[in-house]
Amino acid sequence: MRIYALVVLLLAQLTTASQNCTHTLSGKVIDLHDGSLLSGATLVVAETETVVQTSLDGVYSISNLCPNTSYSIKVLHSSCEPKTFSVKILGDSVRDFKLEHHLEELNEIILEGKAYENKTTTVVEKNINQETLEQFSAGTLGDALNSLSGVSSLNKGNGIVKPIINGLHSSRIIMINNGVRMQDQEWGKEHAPNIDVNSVGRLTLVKSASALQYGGDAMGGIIIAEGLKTAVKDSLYGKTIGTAASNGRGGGVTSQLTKSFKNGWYSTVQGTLKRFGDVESANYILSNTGLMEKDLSFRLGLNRFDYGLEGYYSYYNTTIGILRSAHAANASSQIRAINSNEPLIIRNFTYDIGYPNRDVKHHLARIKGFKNFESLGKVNFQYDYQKNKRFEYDIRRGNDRDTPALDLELNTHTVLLDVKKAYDALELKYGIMGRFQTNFANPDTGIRRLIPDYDKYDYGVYVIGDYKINDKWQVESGIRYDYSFIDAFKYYKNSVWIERGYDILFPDIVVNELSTQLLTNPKLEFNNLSATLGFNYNISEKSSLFFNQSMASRAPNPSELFSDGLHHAIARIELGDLRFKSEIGHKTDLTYRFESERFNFSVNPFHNLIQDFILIEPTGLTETIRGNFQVWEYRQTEVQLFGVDIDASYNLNKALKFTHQLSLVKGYERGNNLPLINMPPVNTKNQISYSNQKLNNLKLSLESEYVFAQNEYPDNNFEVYIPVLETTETLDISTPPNAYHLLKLNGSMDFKVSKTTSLKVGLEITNLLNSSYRSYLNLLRYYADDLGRNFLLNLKLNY
Amino acid sequence: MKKQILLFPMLILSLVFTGCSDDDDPAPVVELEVITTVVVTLTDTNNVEYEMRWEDPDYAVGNITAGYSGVTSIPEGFYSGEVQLYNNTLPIDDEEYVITNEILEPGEGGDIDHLFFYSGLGGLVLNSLAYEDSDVNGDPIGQQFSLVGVAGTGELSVMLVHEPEKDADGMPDDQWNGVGEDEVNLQFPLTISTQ
Repeated sequence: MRIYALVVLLLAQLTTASQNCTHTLSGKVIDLHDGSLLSGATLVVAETETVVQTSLDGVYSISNLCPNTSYSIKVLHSSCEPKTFSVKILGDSVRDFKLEHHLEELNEIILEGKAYENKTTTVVEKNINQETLEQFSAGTLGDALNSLSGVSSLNKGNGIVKPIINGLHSSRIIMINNGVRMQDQEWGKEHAPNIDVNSVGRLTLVKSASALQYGGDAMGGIIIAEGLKTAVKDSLYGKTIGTAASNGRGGGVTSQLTKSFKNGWYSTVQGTLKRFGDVESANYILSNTGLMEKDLSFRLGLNRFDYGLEGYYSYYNTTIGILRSAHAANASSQIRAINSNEPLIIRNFTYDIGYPNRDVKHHLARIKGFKNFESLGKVNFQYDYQKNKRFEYDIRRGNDRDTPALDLELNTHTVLLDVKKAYDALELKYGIMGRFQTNFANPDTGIRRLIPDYDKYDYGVYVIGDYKINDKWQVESGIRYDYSFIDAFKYYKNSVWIERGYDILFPDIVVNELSTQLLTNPKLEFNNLSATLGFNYNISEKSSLFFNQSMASRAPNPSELFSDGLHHAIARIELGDLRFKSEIGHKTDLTYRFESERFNFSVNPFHNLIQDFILIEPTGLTETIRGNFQVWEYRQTEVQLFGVDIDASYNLNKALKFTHQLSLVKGYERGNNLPLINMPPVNTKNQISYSNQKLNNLKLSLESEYVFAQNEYPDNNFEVYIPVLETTETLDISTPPNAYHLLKLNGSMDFKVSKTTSLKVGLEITNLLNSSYRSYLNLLRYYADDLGRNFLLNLKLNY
Repeated sequence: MKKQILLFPMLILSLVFTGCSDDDDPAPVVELEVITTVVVTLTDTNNVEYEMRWEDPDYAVGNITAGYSGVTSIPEGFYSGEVQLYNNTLPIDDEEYVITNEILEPGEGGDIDHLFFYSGLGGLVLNSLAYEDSDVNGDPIGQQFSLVGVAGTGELSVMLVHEPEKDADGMPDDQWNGVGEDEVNLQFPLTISTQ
């Protein structure tokens, strides 16, 4: 809180005594984020060593200033980054100073002492601010994350976008939404995070497991979505964003309204609606790719100096059509689809979402509170409840046409108790977590359960210490222990039970024997340890070095443990293994960062060694009445991933800026050195942007994204005999598509509508050249091209 | 306040972690849409029936070749054919037990969304293959068919395609254009002998 002590007077200049030094400089000190006035800010005039403070309403006045003189005025506030302004005095003048206001924000009252604080101090975090998020208003959270270096996405079409961090995804990533760890069946490759991008105020990416307060199993990293900020003052404000897109002939509307009071009460209501029809590739319509999304969130809280309470509820509902021609029945229909240049089914454009489709609803309710104690520090408590309902509709026959093929309900309760206390240079965080989760797989689908019914109990405890040795060195260290217990009820077919050897390994878990199947009750326990150790070193004012070594442990997820049959959505048989142990990852993360006014640069090499890594690979073909299916089996092995992410930006002048990003990741299985599947290919983004604040805050940018072909991939191809044709053909599911290059043009302008209302008009064109391309990381790449050109008109009204 | 803050989580913890065990065992899934039995009956001009069967009562994947039984040899000549599909995992009186009924139901989801294909594989030659039934649009279904068997040994291929494009070019007489999903993809071993 008290950083007054940090006042350093950098410049001292003698002023000539002969001048008539009677002028006054006055004005306000304003919070840059929400325009609120900052009281109690200190202004230090370096040249005269004058010190003044702002009044309760943020007003200051400095007198006895000399004309025609430049002064350096350092502005300090207990909760802000200090900032020095240069002011030339010609006469009595008025000037407002704006500061980055960080501390004492309202909505981060639980895990954070201030809004948007660092989640870890020895790994460089990457952030996406609200302005950038707003550009993705009609898209997905995954699309927004994709704009960061080191992040790519695993897509199923354009509506299901799942982030990949440094080559890892799904259960190896933790998603935190408003302090709540998302429990939305994230294990599945085609299950995207159930978060409305418009409900997020800021996104933070931590590319390691080092933020142990969130969990110990983030082998790939942690994505933290934080809410929108509210200030302690009487106000009512809001915004509405409308987006219209040519591709998909749809758009979205999102609105948000916040009411806050000086006494600390605040509330925010926010909602989003999106509707798209079939999208188009460069040359044809992608039939059944429509999307409908309905989201709502509500927040009510009270924030006082030493205690606070907040309730938050969000609802997310999306219905996403899956490309009709991607529904492969078996291996030979996959061959037909892959060998055909165009999708086998191309229909007229429609807004209707037919089968197959995914319908997901996610409820999240959370209450949290904090209290500051003199002795104990800041104590935070949180309880959250999540309900995830997932329907997957497939192409089915007759009376079952409208019955979902998958009907899962996942309920999760979590309690968190965290304590944070600062002792001079040491900041200590510790806490406990308890979680109960229950999964219900509805048997009325008439299709064997892919994920069985289970109850899962998790308990965690952690402690993290952060020690500032001096101005240059800071060290961070933490340890976490997690215990998981899974109590599942799982039906196995007799034939699978014997074929897997479970009849010998687990005879005791059989609870009921039916004619063709067995009911078993696997009870599995996992003890996981995770830890982090790192430092950051300020080499100079402009450059710094960050080093972090973290260990993450992840218990196998239900699909890795229990899968034992046909996964209709991807037409293959998947076999899990009850004997799996936890994965243990060791990630080394190093960042060198250089920051100056004109040039910013960071290079971030990493290495990730994972023991008992669970991968799935094809092991053969099996015959069924519906034709041949590939069999994919999960297996544990040791793998290593390494790579580098590079970010650079250069301000050519005040208006023109050039930015560059490069991400490279390689993954191999150790021992046999075989490449891992679905590793993001090398990609680079280069952008030139122009901005002119005077011309209605005009912004223009042109971005080029070049994605190389992935040249390292496992050979999972099959020779398939097709009886009807009496031939053997190759099922090529391995060869990655060619490299591609996409251009994106973006422009925006601000207009003042009234005193309190402003309008931002934005136009964006993605895939400017209407290239036809396929991405290695799109699960639909076998069947159709990716999205063609898209014009997006974006209107944002602030009021 | 301090006490309250610490008591609250304990209370919630105790609420959450009790009363959520001892659920009843989950019910087994009654598998719908499962075709466990396929019966092809060929009837010659003298009303002699030849029955070929394929069965997989466990509906276990990977077990397809063991499922063929019944007639493997028929004399040369003209036959009228019929195919019946069953789901043996359901009780006999269940309305979905005889899957063929569902397929023949007029309209969408029924007859217009299904089409059988037959062909001779290997050394088996089938002449004059013809559809002997039609859906509500007048397009064939193929549950009833006819053929002329010529001497040879090979396999009788029986395919059922769900949601085919019946009015696409060349369909259904030439061969399947690839649109739709195979529901049945079986090859019955068969020898046709000279009389």
